Amino acid sequence: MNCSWKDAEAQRFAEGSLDPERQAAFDAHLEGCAVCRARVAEAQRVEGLLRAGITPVAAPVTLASRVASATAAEREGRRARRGLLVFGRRFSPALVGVAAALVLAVAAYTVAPGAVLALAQRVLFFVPGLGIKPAGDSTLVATAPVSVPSGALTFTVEALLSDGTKTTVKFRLAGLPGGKQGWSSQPPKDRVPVLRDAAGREYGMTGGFQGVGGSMAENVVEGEFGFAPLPGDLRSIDVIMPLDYLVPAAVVPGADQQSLVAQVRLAPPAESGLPAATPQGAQATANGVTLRVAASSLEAGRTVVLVEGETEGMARVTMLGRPGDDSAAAAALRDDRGRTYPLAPEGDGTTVVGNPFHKDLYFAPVAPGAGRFTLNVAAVQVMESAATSVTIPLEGHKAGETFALDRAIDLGGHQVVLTSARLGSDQLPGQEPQTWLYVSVDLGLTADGRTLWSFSARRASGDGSSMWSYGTGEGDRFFGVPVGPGDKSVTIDLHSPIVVVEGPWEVSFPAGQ
Amino acid sequence: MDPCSDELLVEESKRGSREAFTELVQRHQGAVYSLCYRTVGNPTEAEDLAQEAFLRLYRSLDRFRRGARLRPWLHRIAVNACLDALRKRKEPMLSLDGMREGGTEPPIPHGGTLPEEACLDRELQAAVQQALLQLPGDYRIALVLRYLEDLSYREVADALGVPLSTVETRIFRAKKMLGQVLSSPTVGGKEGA
Repeated sequence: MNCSWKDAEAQRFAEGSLDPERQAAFDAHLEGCAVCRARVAEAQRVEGLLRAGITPVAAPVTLASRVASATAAEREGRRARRGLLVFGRRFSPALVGVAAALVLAVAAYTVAPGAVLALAQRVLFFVPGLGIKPAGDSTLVATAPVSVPSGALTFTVEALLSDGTKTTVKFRLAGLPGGKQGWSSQPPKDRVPVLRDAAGREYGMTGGFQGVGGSMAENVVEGEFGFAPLPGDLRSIDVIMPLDYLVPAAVVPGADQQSLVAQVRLAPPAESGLPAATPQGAQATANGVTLRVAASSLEAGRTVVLVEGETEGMARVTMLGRPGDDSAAAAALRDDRGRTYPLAPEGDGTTVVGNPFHKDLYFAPVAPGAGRFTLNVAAVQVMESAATSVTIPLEGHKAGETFALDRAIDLGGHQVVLTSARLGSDQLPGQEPQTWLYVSVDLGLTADGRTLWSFSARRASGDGSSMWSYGTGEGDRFFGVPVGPGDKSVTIDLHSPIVVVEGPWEVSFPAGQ
Repeated sequence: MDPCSDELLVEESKRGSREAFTELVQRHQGAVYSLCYRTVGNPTEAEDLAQEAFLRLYRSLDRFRRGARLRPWLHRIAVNACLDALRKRKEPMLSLDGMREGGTEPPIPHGGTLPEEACLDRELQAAVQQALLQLPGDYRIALVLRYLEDLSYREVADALGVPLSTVETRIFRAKKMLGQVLSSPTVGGKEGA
């Protein structure tokens, strides 16, 4: 059948956004054109989904206070930038900046010609607990950790860094009774951590925090909180931590009535005594993954190497080393005299998963006389962005029965074999029983130096809950998705495969300090 | 001048009134945050972006012409903040010919849901949001402006600073792709229910 109307016009007709004449003409055309009726029906379905699905959401209650803190910092910054005092005279910030860059460039050229550009662009410091960080005009750091005892508890601000865009506070709460099993993870909304300066100005939490917890068996809570940036001229700040934000009152009686306050002294990095770091830049590429030594710091009684990992496209490096390896095996460092430095077991540094990925690796202190180092990484883990879906029929299968699937699925070029499935039931205390479909999988086929290790799975509709077990052997791997009592089939999205990419990457860089 | 108008609040803010600027933020935070959340799909990142948009507004108050309307101006600032964020993520901003039918590469999915979605339409909204996140950034933001803000094609083009024909192409293709992604029986059934 010949039809001169375009699909795009059917879509606009369904929207009602054609001009009135075209709208009427298309309406008249529809009666005799089955193709366009089908187009309009599909366009109306999508239109309905978009109208119902793209709706306003309420702003978080913290947004207005965050903006207020940020604009307050902006005002302070403007005041500070109006003039800088240099050798007793007031110069414009731009002039001081140009002069400083020139001095820095000349100084850098005398020690490391290859690093002139990088050194002129970035001044780096090692902030214990937070890693190697660039410092700008408005950067402030804690000059020392601060511990505040409270009964059996000790609250410690281990590090603080404010870089002009945000303030990061690394903390630790020790001395808790017992482990953490059974704790509620719902912090109070009306009592939140805040930073307060001597003038009473508050810098609100920006909502991002990570790593709060420690292990279930440990009696510590530790992590990082983000706050609004601090004005660069502050020299002291109170970190105010409502105790029940970290520990339920059921565990520490009175936690909902108590706030811990740590007064932290601040300084620009250059005045803080923190060790400097040297920009590097050497890199190696294997199997589509580039690893770069971005910076190093050989002071502070240990060696810190900032590694960046970059991939092509939308994949992201998530970890160095192979899954299940001892973390000390993730990377090795040796010097030009053949001496090796083990990765420090107590901490392998801050990780930022992104593209590029950043990780600070801590090694044992370097021996005297080393001129160059080589970082060796054997394998990395990469999360790719592939996705696919599979529908599994459930009719005729009873709870507890294991049935064969033997379905091979392509997930971004990796083969996933769904070997069998089982319907099982779980019931958590106080909740309705939930039926799960457990699907056993075979992974691990290698292609182009990449081995599929795991992936995410979730039901295509529903709340996205899923579970994964990696087991101890290939045959023990399975994932589970919730199913309803009357479901005749379930469609599962498989996405975000994590693959092990084999190197090796050998990156050589000068000591530089 | 309306004693509670945006215009008056802007003038007060220019003179240094924190209360006036806070009132502006509270008045427009829902619209700005919604745009950011629907564009990036992650509550934490959306809040960061909304904060950035208001900070850019604050920095540019002196350039705001007396008598101009605040909302379109703030809207453009928020759109630019979203576009900057999408570019930084290295998401594909435009992939016309390379887009295979039903085979778009989704970005890394983001976790997190909002209380607003905990309603009867929660599944549908979550499905649409997930589908949106599979679109290239330029397509996604065009759809968000069209459906969240109820802008005309011309207004979307103005907000994005691109020709009208480009917006028509992006929205057409985005809807075709979404139609394929959202073709599961469950989603269709919800819509028809």
